[in-house]
Amino acid sequence: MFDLKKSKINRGVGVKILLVSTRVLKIIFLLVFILSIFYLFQGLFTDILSIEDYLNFNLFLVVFSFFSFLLFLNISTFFKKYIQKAKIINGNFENDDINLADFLTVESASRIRKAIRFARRKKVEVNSSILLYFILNQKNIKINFILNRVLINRKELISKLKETMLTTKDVYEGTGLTYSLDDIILESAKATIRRKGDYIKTNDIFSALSKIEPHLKEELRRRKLKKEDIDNLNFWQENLFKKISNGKRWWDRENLSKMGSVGRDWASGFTPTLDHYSLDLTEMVRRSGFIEIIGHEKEINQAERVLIRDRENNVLLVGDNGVGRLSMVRSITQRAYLNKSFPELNGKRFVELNMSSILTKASSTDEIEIILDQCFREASYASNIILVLSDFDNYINDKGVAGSTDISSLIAPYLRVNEFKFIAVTSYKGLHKYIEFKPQILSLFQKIDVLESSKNETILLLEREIPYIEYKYNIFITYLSILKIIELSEKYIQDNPFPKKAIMLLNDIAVYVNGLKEKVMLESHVEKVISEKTEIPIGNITSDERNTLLNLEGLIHEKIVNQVEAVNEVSSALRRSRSQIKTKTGPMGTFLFLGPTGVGKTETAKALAEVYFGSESKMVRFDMSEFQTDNDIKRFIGDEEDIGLLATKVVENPFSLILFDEIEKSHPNILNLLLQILDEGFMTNSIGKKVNFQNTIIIATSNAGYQIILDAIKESKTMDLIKQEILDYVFVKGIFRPELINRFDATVIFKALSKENLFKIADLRFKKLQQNLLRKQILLEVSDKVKMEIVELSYNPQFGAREMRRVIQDKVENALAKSFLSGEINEGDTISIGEGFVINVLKKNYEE
Amino acid sequence: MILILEYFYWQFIEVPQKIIKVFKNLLWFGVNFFSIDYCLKTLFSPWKKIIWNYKKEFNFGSRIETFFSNCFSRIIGFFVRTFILLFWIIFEVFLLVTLIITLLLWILFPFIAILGIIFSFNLL
Repeated sequence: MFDLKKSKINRGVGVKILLVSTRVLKIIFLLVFILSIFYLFQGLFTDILSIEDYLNFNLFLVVFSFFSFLLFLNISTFFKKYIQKAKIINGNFENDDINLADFLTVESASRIRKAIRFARRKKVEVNSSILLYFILNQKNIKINFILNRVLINRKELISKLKETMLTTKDVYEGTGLTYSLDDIILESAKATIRRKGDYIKTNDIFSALSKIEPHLKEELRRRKLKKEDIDNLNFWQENLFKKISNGKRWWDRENLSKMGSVGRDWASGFTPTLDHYSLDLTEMVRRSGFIEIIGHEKEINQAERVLIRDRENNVLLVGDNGVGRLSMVRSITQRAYLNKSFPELNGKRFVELNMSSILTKASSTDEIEIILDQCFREASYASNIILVLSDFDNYINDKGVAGSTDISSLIAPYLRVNEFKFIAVTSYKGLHKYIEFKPQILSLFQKIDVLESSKNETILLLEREIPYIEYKYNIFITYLSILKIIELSEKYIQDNPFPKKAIMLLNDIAVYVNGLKEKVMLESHVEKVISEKTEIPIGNITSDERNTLLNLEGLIHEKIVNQVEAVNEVSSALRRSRSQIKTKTGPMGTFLFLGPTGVGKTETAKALAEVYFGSESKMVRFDMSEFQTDNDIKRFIGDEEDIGLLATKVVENPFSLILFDEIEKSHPNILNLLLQILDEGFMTNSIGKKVNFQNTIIIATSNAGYQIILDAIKESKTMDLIKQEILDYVFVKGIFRPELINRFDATVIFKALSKENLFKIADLRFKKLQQNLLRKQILLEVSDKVKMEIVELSYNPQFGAREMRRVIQDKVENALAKSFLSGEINEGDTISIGEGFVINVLKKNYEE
Repeated sequence: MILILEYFYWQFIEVPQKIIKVFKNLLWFGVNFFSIDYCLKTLFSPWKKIIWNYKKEFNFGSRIETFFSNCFSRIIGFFVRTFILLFWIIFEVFLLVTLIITLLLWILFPFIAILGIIFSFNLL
């Protein structure tokens, strides 16, 4: 229910007039008071007739105006608070007995009231456009924040609303029913609940209108923004303003606890050696200021619980570099400093051991051990220290790696002591490679996995960083560019996880925008920097994938001839897969190319790489006949020493085409791995790290059963029949398992080439040769007869076009090379190849 | 009428409650800043955990020396903590006095203003 008249806030809107008048009176009396004091003093030093009368009147003025000012100050403060007294919204606001108007702030109530009055005057129902108009036509810092971040011009939007607001129909998408004012306020209440707010503010109404009002919807659609994005922006600005206002409330416990405490360490021991070789994280947190903790809350709580345990109270934080392991340690330190953690942890000192300082200052292994032992002894004895060590694996290996040392036997006894609390930070690689080989050490830790931040958490983290970056580089960062950073860094950058890659990118782009002397960070800046970083042509980053998909056949046929059915099948499968008609978690497209050798399987893959990823070099090719033994598997998939060829290539080129040539020859375990990649779009490598294949196209080629294709062509069988026969063949022979074939988006059969096909290929090859010779300014003419001769010589259905390359080499290129070296042909000549592959010079460059 | 009642509620109940809450936070701050719970728990603990261990072989003189040294460390700890406790008490007393004055001033605020206005006419 929504009834503004019956709500208390409506009375508040009335009281607003009283507030204004008391405020005016307050100011008047303040001015009179100041002026009368001034006048009083001035009178004392000038000649006046009766000093007594003068003093009496002026003293009256001073005292009267002062106390009147106090009285109106008191009353206006009351009115100010009174009109803001809305009810706090909670979960059951959808109950019919509850008047939603009670949850409005006075600001939003007055805007709605204006909209209702306007609609009544114009004899129309209040619609979303009228409401939006009255929300926008008065300046509002919070709504301006949202509009500016998505680059919507407020004035332009207002003028559009003015034109159509009397005729707007608010229709529900899908049902055809129309929205009433009650529905809009209900949507606003939902927006308030989503941002965990107390009252329905104008920005919540704006958030609701972004789903309903046609002009606003259109503006958001043009910017490819989703409904949730306005919620995110609403949440961002509310959080930011809340943080600012909370910062001013110095009497709140949170602000007071920032002052720290004295005397906590008087009952704890001195730690002179440890202080010398360590960094005091607690002090660092205190000096650098307190930040909002975002993400990894579960892991932080888990780590805190482990640290207060009586036994095995050591934490091993395991995660990839950049997932926020050290930020987690910082968060735990901050919570302990601000007394927000467990009582046992509050007030404890977090100290990070500086191993490199110990290693450089100590002259021998013995000395290292003496210093470390002293540090551990002090930490243990002091009883208020939580020791932190980064790259723990570097110091738990006895494999003689330079710059590393083995402290496992030294630290093990301390790890068993209750007073000694230790946080070790390591990566999965370090864990599998070194720490797991020391089970006696590992058993003393509680392992906590720190996973990559989600996209939403990363957005929140970027939003947290933005005020500092904007201040530092004097730029304005749009929300659109934040979304672009998330989208492109997820797609093109794999060597670092979220949030590190997004934060690094945001900083890089800020430097770039600042260097350009521009003031606003736009999506185009993000694209430019990503393009420079990844060396992917900007056109491919910005181009519309839709157009590529629509013209895919044409684009591929620019590169290869024939195989029309195969190209059509690949194109349609890719369109099906990319238009998200079916839900898909795997790579962008996955294909199995079957057919005899030399029929254009690899060429099609190359063409697809060029069309889709911008260059043939974006194709990563693996000759699977090289990976047949167990040792080869290690090389391909990786082991604890190395992440393997496949993972390396995909991490380096996350946006590429992966070609597995002659897949049937590879080890069965590789085929099993392929099952997971095709299904889920990622593989977990030997050190437990996920490698993402979701931005790749995977093509596997095989010539298994090629004889069937050759025979079928002779018998002029249809493609469907050939495909069925060949699949039956590979299943019966056990070459591929059905579950593998089924996981490909399409199995594409490449036909053997006919003489007509070969003639076209010969034509293409000669064109390439002509282009090469043109660089030497030699003009080559080749007749169709010669091309036919080449086709006749190279025609062999088993080898396809592969034989042609050899024949052209033998008959034409060799003869050309000889003639060129012997001086028969020179630069600038025009030559032709005649019958029997004789080279004729038609025109000399100069007369001898 | 409701407005006047609301005013009385705000002036004499709601705001004084808020003032008390602010002072409660400040009292909590005093306890936290001076680590009172910790100081009381460790009132007689040795200063900075400095203690001497008794030697294994029995030597009366050395035992007495170690005993007095350890007592001395505890006495230093006790004095420093007592000193802090004293500071805390002064701080809290000061806070309480300020609270009473603030509360009185706030509650009497409208009366003072009205009386002031009446008084000003006597000056004429």
